[in-house]
Amino acid sequence: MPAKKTTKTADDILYIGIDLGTSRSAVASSNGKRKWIQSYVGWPRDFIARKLLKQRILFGDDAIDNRLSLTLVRPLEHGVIRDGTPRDEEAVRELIHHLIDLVQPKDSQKIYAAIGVPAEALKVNKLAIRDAVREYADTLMVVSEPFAVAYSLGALNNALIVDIGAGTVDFCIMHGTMPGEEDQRSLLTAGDYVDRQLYDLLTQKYPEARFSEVSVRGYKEEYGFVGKTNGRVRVSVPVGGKFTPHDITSEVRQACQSLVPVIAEMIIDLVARYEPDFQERVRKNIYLAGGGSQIKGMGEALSEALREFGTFKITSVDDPLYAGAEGALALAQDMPEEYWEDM
Amino acid sequence: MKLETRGVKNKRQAILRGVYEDNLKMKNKAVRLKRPSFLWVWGTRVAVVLAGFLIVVGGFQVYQEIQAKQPGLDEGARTPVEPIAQAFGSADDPGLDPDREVPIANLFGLQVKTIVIDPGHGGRDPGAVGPTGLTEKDITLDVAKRLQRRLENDYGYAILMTRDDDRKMSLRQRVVFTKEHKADLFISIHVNALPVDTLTTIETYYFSPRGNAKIQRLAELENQDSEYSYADLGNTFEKIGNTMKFQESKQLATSIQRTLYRNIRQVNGDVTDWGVRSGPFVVLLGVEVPAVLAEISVISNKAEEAKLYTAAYREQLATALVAGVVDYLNPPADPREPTEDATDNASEEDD
Repeated sequence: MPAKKTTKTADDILYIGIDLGTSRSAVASSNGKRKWIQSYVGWPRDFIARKLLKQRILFGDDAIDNRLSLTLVRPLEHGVIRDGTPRDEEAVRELIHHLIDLVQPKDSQKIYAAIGVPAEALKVNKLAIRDAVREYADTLMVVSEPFAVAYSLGALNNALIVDIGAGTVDFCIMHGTMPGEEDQRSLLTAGDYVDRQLYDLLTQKYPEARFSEVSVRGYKEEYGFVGKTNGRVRVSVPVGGKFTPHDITSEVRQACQSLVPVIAEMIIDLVARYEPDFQERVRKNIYLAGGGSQIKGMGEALSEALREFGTFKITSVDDPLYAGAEGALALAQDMPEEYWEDM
Repeated sequence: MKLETRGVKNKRQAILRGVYEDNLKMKNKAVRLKRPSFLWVWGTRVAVVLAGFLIVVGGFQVYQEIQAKQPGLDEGARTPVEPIAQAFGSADDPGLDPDREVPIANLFGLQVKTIVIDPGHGGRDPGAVGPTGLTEKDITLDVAKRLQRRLENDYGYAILMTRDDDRKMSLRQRVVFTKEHKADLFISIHVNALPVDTLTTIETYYFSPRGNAKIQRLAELENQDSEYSYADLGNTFEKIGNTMKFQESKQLATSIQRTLYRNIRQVNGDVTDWGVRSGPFVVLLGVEVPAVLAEISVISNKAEEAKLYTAAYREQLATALVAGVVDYLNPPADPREPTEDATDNASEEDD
């Protein structure tokens, strides 16, 4: 076993796993606490807003609810720090600081943090993310999100993780070693893309209705499905100031369905590069994680789309909201103490 | 508690070690330049020799024909490149030419609708690698995506990317992609590596069949794995007398170089302007529309690599490229006047 925690007691160190996502960020810690927030950061626009809100900065749902009074930033886009403006980088720092605060570390505790970030962010933003965390953690490591999910599942060999996030769909093949760049891919056709598709479809079909980006994302998260459905999806939307029921079943299906072919294609592309016997094992060991894995029927639809290439067993992880953060936490706890000291 | 076999435990430990080494490399900025494998080195050398031979033989024949048909066309390529700063006064840079013309596309009312952006390298081909392991392929892709977003959102152009993820594409595939999509402009983004690791330079190329020895070497490197034979390109070499593409490429290169240098100089006082140059880059020859290759930075310079790690700097590079493209398509009344300051736009906040 690794020589972890041989020199320090559990009380000396708080291990933290963070899943820094485009849409949602989650944190889990060794004191048993775990929280998630929408990845929004907002600063009061002016002194009136500051006086009204009585806060210097707002996060998550609080920020969304008060967005008219705020300069609202979602700092990660497509898995990387969005525009690279100082405001975006400050938002990432504030977001991480807030996530660490949420698990309530004691003043005396050292913080050892493992941060899961989208695979694309790893390549070019890793130093920026390290810088953002450095102020608030005594030592830290950065890993790719799908890898953190694989670690939490114990799927270290013969497995493929598909992490369907808002900004990216990240793919990671596990073959018993640390996955290299060639084992990981990212697609930009992800949750945000579905939101845009759904918004366009709904505004085309119901031009008189007032849809918003936030409400459309909510429909996807609550009713998202692919394939067959037993019921209809009906929502109330304001038309000329009056809430009116609208049937959005086929639009929700069509928008969510747009993910299926691109994900299926990438799965085949990734798996096909390996030897046939490994391919066979991976086909039976595919895990869907991230918010997109909660779209009803996604696993079955992908299996169906891949049918011509053989039988695929695709499973959605039990706890998609926290799978990345729990994986990063497990990794942090398993990491030998001497490795941490070098960081 | 999970029961683990010895094999699983070993795998877990190997993985933890991998995470540790990966993060250590990230943290430790003093890592040496990556050494390519023996096979790769020798494969590359053979490819370079072959490519160089084809280019020199082909280039010389075409050069003679061009000279016969278009005297004076290749003056820039014949101009020796100065060792360091060769600002806008280089013979190849019409940026200070008072007779600078508007783009021919504008003259004839032709609209530029579709622009192909080509992030250099990708997949198993990392391109140049910085002192701490940052790769050219990742920077080119990141800057290309930022350029795409701005040109689409702010200016309404249809932008196509030869690759929008980390995959390898041969130069032939990039050219075919551009032709198939009937692009109006082609912009290839690269990051340089120089033997002198204290230099930071910006230079922009358009095609000509010859360059000086230094340009020839750079072209050989960028032309690796092109999948083209000389026979494939013979006809295109012959058609180089079709000067509309040639002249337009030169103007586009000038515009991009000018805005890149002027704007990056404001945030990076160490940058040196190597100007607009012409060289035998296969990817520029293959496409049939105005095409340029911009070497936007130098990754082998440690300080520059550190800047490239920051999203803010990459955004500044992308914004300066946007200004170059927009200036080319809508030329300012007097090109001597400073270009619109792209860095101002880069720092704007999006509410």
